[in-house]
Amino acid sequence: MTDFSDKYKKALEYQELSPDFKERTAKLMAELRDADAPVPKTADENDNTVSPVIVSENGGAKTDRSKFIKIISTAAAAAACLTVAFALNRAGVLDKDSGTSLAAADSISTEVTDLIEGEEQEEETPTEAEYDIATYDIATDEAVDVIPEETTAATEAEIPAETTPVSAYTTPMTTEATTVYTEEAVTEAKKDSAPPDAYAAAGNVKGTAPAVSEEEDFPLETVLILEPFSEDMGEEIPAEANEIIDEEADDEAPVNDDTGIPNAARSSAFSPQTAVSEFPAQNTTAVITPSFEDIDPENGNVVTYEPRQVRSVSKLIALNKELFDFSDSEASYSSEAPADSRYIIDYTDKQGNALRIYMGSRYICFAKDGYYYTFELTEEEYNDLDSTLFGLIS
Amino acid sequence: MYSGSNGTFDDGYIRYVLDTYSEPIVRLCFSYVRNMHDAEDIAQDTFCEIIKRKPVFTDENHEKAWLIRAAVNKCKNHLKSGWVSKTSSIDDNLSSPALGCEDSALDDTSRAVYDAVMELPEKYRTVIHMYYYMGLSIAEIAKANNIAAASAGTRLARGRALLKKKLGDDF
Repeated sequence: MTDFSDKYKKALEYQELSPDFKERTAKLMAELRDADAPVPKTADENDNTVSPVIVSENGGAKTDRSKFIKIISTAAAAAACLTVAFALNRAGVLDKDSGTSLAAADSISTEVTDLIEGEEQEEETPTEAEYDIATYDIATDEAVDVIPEETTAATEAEIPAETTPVSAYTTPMTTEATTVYTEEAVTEAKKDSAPPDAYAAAGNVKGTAPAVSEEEDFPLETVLILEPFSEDMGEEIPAEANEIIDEEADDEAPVNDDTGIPNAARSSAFSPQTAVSEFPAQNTTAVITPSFEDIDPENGNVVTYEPRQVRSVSKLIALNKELFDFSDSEASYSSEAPADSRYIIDYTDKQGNALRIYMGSRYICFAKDGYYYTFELTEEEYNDLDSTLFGLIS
Repeated sequence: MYSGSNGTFDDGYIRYVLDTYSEPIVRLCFSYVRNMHDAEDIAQDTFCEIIKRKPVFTDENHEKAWLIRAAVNKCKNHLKSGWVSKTSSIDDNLSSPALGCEDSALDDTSRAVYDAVMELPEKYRTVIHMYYYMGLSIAEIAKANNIAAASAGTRLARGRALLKKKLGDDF
C-alpha cells in the first residue's frame, strides 16, 4: 500500500505547477489586501471548526451570482404575471359577469337559430288543403273562458273536429315552452278579444295562420314551439274531453308511428356532440359519480371513489371533447337508464339545464328528454374515455 | 508555535501560505478537474479567499482544513458551472489526462497507477487522492467533502477495490 502511495505521489509530481504560479498568486493576494475590499464577515467565519457555513463562504462569488439571477428571475416572473393580468383584464376574462354574458350570448344564438328553423317550418308545412275556414267558427270569449291556463291542449280542445290540422300546428316541444305559449296566447286573446274572428274574416286559414303571429306580436318563444304534425295525425277531439286531454298532453309528446317514440326522440335526430356542446365549459359544472370499486393490489382492501365535481374550464373542454369523440355509430334508444354504468356524468349549467351521461363497459349513454341514447364504443374508445374519467376522479 | 496571520495578512504570511499549500492545493484541484490550468486557477481563487474573508485560524490543522474545504467547494462549483458541464476538453476524451513529462522519465508502474486513479469516478478519485497523497484521515476526508465518515470510508474502500481490479498485483 505504501508502495502505491509512493508511486502515485511520484507520478503526480511529474505534473509540475507553472513556474510563476506562486508569484502570480502572491501578487494577486497582495493587490486584494491593499485594495482593502470591505467584505462583511459573518460570525461563523471565526469558528474554530470547519463548519458547513465556511463552505458557503468559500463559494462567495457563486452565491452572489445566484442571488443576482434569483432577483432577475423574480422580476421577470412578476413582469410576466402583470402582463398576463393586463391582457386578461383587457380581454374581459376577469370580469365577474363574463360567464353570464357568455351564457347569454349562447342562449341568444340558440334562439336565433331556432327562430330561423321555426320560420322555415312555418312556411313549408301548412297547405291550403289542411286549413278550413269552418274550423275557426269559435267565439273568442268562449275560447278564452274555456281554455285552462298552463296547458297547450286547451287550445286544441276548443277547436272542433275539423280543426285538427290547425291544432296540430301548435305542437308543444317541451312543457316549459308549452306553458309560455298558452299564457301568451290567452293574454293576447284577451287583449284583442277576437282572434278567431280574424281567422273567419280572412276567409282561409293559410293566410291567417301566419297573420296571427304578426298581428298579435307573439314573442319568440311562441314561434319556437310551432311545429307541424305529420299527415297521419289528428283525430277528432271532442270538446268534452278537454280536461282529460289537457292532463295527458302535458306529459306526452306526440307520436307519429306505432313505436310510441316522439319525433324529437328519434335516434337519428340525436347528436351527442350537440348535446354536449350545449354545455359550454365556461358556464358548466360536471359531477362525475363513479359506481364501481377497486381492490388495492397491495393490501386487498376495497377502494371506493367519491363523486368529483369538475369546474376547471380546461378539464371540462377536454372532457367535452372526449365524450363525443367516438365513431359515429347509430344510437339505440330506450326509456330505461342503463343499470351497469361505471360512471354517471351530470352536466349542469347556470341556466339550470342538465344533461346526464352514463358510461359503462363499451357503451356511452346520453339521457335527454326522458330517453336514453346509447352508443357502442370500441375497446380503444372505451379505454380512452375510461382513463380520462378515472383521471378526473382519482 | 503557530503564529498565524495575526490579522495582518502581510507579505510574509502570503509567502508562507503559498510555500506550504500551493502544491497540495493545486494537486487536490487537479484530482477533481483533471486539468492543470484549471486546477491552478481554482487554487489561486482559493488563496485569494483568505484575503477576502480574513479568517482567523487557531492552528495549522485549522488552516489546512479551511483551505482544503475551500478548494473542494471551488472545484465542485467549477464542475457544476454551465461552461464546464456543457463542454468537454480534449483531455476529457482521453482515458486519463496526459502527464506533463516525457514518458521515459516515469516508470511504467507509476504511470499505470496514475492512469488508474485518474480513470476512477470523481467521488472515489478525490478520496483516494486525499488519503494517499495528502495523508488525510477518514474523518478529515469526511469533513472536507461534507459527508459522513462512514461514507468516506465506503468510498475509500470502493476506490481501492476498483484500483485493485485495474492494477492487480501493483496495488
